[in-house]
Amino acid sequence: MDHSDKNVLVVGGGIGGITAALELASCGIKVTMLESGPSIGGRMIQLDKTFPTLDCSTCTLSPKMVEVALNHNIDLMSVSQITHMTRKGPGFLVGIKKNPRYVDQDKCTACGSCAEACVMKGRVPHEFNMLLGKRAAIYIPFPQAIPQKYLVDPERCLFVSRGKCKKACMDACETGAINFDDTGEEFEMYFDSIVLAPGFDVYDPTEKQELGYGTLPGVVTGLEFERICSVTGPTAGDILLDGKEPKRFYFIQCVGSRDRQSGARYCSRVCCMYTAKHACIVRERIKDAEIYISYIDVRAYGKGYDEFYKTTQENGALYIRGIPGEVVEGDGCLIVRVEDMLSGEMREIEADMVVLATGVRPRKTTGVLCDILSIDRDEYGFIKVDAVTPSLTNADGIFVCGMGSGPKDVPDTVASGGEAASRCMEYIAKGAGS
Amino acid sequence: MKIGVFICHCGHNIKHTVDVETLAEYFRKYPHVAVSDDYPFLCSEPGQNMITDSIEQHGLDRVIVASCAPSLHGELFKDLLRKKGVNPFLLRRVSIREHCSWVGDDVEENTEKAKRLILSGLYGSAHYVPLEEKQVEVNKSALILGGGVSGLSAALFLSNMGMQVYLVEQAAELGGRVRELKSVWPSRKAGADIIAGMENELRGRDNAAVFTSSKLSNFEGFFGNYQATVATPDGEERFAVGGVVVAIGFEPFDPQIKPELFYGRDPRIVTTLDLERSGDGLKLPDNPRVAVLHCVGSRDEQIGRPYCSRICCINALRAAEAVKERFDGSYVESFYMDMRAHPRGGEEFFEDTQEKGVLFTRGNIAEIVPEPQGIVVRGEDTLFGEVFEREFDLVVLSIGMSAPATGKEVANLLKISLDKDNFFLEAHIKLRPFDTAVKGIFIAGSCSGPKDVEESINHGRASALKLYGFLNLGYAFVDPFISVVDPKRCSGCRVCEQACVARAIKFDEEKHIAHVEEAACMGCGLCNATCPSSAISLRGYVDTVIADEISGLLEAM
Repeated sequence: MDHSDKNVLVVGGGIGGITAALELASCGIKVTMLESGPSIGGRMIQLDKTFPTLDCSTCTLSPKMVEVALNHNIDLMSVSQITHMTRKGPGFLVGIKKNPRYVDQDKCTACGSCAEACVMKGRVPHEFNMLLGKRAAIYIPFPQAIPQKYLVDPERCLFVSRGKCKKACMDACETGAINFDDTGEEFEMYFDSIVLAPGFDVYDPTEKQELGYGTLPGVVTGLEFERICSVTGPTAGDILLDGKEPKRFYFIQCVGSRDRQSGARYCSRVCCMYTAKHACIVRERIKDAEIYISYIDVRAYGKGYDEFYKTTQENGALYIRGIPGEVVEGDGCLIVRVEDMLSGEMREIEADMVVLATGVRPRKTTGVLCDILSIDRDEYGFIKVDAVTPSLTNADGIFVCGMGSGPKDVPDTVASGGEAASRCMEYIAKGAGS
Repeated sequence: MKIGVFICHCGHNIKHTVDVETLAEYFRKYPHVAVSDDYPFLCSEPGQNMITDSIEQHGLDRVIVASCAPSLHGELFKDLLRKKGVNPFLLRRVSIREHCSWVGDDVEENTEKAKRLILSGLYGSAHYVPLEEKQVEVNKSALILGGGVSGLSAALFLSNMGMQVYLVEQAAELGGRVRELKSVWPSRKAGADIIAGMENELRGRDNAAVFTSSKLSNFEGFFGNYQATVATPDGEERFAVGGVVVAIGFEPFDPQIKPELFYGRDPRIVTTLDLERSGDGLKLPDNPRVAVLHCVGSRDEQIGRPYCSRICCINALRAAEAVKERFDGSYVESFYMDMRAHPRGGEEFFEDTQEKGVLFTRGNIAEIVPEPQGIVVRGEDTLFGEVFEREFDLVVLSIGMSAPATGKEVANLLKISLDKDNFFLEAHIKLRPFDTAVKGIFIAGSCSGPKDVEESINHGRASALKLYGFLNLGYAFVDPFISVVDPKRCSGCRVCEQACVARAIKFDEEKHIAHVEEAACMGCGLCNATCPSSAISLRGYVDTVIADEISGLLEAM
């Protein structure tokens, strides 16, 4: 069957969206991939390694990102979003806003001279690194970003935001790629079907004051810890806290999951395993580290997961059943107060670093997206689906995959991306027949 | 000859235990090496650009990529050569991650080993010659093995996309295990209804042939052009298929493997599946005391089931809920290790079940003793550190998933691999979770590891889409690594013919020599190894390449 006259919009460029887009493109369908951020890769590209194989995340995902960039059937639009949608027969007329990058994509060679010259260099908190470390106002989010092009952060660029700057970046750019007259684009496009892969945010544990996040140095979230471990992160992959190597690690699971108080009764499905992975990474890099892990139940349910959990224990990670009541400042360290439910003892454990295994939340922009597309969401704000038809939304012709419909790990997201693409193909083929 | 050596850090993975800069420096001085460099991620865009730019700038005619194992990004690096007009078979991948940096911690020794491995690749590549891939037509039809929810999902999708589908199910009916389920959590739909919906859609279609009480008996050919023979009640059927989706499901764990559970010997001890099938007919007192045991046949190394079966915590919750709903005054206690209520809605279900009065005890069961007045369950409550002994009228075993009974047979026929637990092995758990090592053969559902209904549907459709993407093109490329016979040397002894697992070697009666059918040859090299007169060799892996690779390894010593 020839599908080359068909157009599908994939919203979101994480592993779910990438999987769906590549599958569709391999069947000859023209895909427009809309990514709201400056690069595709989503959350997975922020990870250092992935469980249970400890494969490096970049090595697993980066080639797929390059495939997206090179595939003739895929048109990638970064820093872009949907503005409106009207149904047109079986298809959709979608309004798209491409925000300005202020750097000509064809001319930029990603040499980095502009960022070196930028007066804001080293002054803008870096989102990709979970605000750890600083970047310039003109930047590339990470070295392997796709598109492999720089862009200007309009809020932090002195010229864009205040109209006052010597524009050293323009002098530094040899190819004349920087264009402050860039206003972006707004247009409408017709699509035969839409696949949503909006991804997720992580729970902000600031409200749990007892755990000390945001007030005690050394208390970090799981995703922040990923960036600290990653070679593309702020410490180039060395596990450091204020320049020193921490020795005592305390991991706390179920922060913002299985927790009515934080508004999430559900299990986030990834935190048990990513914590086990963190413990393995620490053990590999800091041989004499002390590692404690607090848990309620260890949900090592996937292929090879339980074995991985066991190896983690054998490598000397001490699992303590019970979630700490509080983390307080001690004498040059943190003190974790926890009731060990297996021994019934109250324990005080000293730690240099406390990592909170923060749970999954719907992406903040999912609400807006769903309103534009008239898509129903569940009580938590994830896109509503049925377990027997896992990618069907209430809107005919709009499909969802990945964390958009609820927590999933990478293998499950890849499977759901394929499933969504298959439903999308059927929908299009049916339209062609009628 | 102009060789480029590229060494990947793989983030921390290689750099952590191999001195990559020293390696790059070392090879820079080597004869014929025009460029030698290292980079954090060669597979990322800047890394790829580094290689393509070097090919152009230095006019490279050999490229050595020292990184992960070739199975990971084989095609990716080949494409870089193609793009620059260099024959892709002039690429040599050297595994310095799986074979080196992941093996030991000693930086000095690892660096030395990596050096030898790369040198070996360098020597071997000197003998490389350009090879051409052959384009073959593919058959736009698919064989689906297994008519459970996963196989049905795959068959429906492919049929909807206009492809000819042959669905082969071993049982008399379609639907697999899902058909037996009274209410499929969380949708609460009857399993039989879910299956009937799918089956009705598929039946009567021109492009879907369904064979029940049937099994695959023979399988030959190569990607796009397989020949499948199926034994049906009406005799043998043969058809040509482009590819296969294997969805043969799982086997419920048989608790009789653990005699201490008394399953099969006392009617008061049943499995979750028994309860599902005939729970309503069970004779129980008015206020029955019921125990639910988790992890029966899962997370149990002693019986060779170290893995978690992924679905049984939810099944245990369903069993507990069912009893509680039927008998208001019942006493239901669930014994678990970790409550794995991870699916969407699972945690809420767990909480609701607790609110309905089901007790959950984190514990290890030491023994079960059937007594006339009740079944005595003894164990240790791991939360309170206490030993307990309680009496029940019914014990429900939440059984896990075991590998499919016909897994080995199917694996042998299709020449695909099983993992350590006898489920099918995926090519890569994240990058290629539906692919096997054989092109055009995909796996779906529980036969590659325990999955629930939703996950099995996802898998079935995703696998089918992969296959569709391949076949819809109408053509495919086959690897040029095929054996060639030197007619002058061949003595006609026919040893190679017997060694060939792909049945690609035929005997030429006229010329009295062996002849290789190129399309069928898998390039395994078995014939090379067995030929007493060195008359048959494998393109791309000729003896001189291998001999010089060994020399490279030895010379470095």
